[in-house]
Amino acid sequence: MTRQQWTVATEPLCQAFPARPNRVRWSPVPMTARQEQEATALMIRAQQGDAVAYATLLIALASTVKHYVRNRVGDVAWLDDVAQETLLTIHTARRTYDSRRPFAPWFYAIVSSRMIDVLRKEKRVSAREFGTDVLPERATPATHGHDDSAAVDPDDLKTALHALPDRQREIVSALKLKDESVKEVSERFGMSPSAVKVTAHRGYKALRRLLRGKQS
Amino acid sequence: MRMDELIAYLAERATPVRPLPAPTVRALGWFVLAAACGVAGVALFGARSDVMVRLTQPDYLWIAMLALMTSMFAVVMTLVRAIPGAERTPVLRVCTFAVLGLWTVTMVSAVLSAGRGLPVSTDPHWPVCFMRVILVGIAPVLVLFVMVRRGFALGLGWTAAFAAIAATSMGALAVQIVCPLDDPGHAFLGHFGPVVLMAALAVLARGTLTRKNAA
Repeated sequence: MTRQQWTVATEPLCQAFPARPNRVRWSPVPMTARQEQEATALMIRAQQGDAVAYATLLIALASTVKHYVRNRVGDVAWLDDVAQETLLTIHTARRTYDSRRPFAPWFYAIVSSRMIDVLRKEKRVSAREFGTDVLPERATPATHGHDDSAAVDPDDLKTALHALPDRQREIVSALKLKDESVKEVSERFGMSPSAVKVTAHRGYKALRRLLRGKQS
Repeated sequence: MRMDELIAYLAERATPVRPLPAPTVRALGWFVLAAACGVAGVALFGARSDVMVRLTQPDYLWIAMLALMTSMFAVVMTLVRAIPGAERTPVLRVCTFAVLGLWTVTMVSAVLSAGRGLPVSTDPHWPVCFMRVILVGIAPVLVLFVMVRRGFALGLGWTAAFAAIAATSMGALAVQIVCPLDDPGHAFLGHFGPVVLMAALAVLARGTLTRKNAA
């Protein structure tokens, strides 16, 4: 990661925590003694609930993780996965850090463990799946020799969607058109995930009914 | 989720946490509890009548010492493993395996030198001792798993196994003081068997026992 990329990556966080700008600008190299001291200080403050210190620490550690993994296994596609898994583990395990002990062994034990976990997962996935440079031809009713009666006219779909009650329409749109997760939608609408699923299911049923009516 | 979003998400949830005490301090606390459970077990089941005499005999004392040392090393090992990166050298692990290995060798060689084999069906008392070891060790093992879950073990299998060994070794020590039978086959099945079995079961259930939040 170049300095410019680094600044771009940290910018949203600096905006999110404007009270104390991110002062630590570690270069993405393995942790030095000075960085370890800084990390220890930040971790102590993070354990006390200081969100700014915590964010600063996580930004710096994310870069260190990527560099560590890149050094060991090269520029792999799952670099970000390891970094994210590591940050999540650090968050869960932050109470296990003892400030009287050095930070680096604690941190690198977590990074190594997460790297191995992600590596195993990637191996499992690659054993089942294969990549291809050429995208397969999309199936169309014509290639299958089917009639196109099952195909839905986008205009009909739009009309049917508008015919749904407001809440159902918003939830179906969020889940299916905007690709939001159930959790995100439930948080946005202040509903439980189960209620979101139920509403979405009712919406799908209503859509199906409306579209069938239109076709017949 | 993008990296910056994840960091913002985690930083928002940066609630104050109290750092865990050092593993040795936690181990000491657990050991006091486990010893209390052992004493309670001996009080409940009653010590063998010749316990004071047997405690002066080297073979009996040697096995009791091995059980005690195994429990001590295993609990420290468990709690060290519950802290990422706390195991800086393999010394503790080697010591734990050495004591456990010595105990295993002592028990196996006693059975072999007696030449009677394992009294699986001929001795009706070993299942009683087996259950007593588990009964004495059950509270300490549950407490130890709670302690492990408060930390964050990275290698779950060994951590779970060490936890089970620590607790059941204390149970085995208590039952050795209670049980009047000195047959090596009985001791192997009834006193040492639960340690092996519980360790194996703990390895199988490692995820549930040692990890509160799947990471």
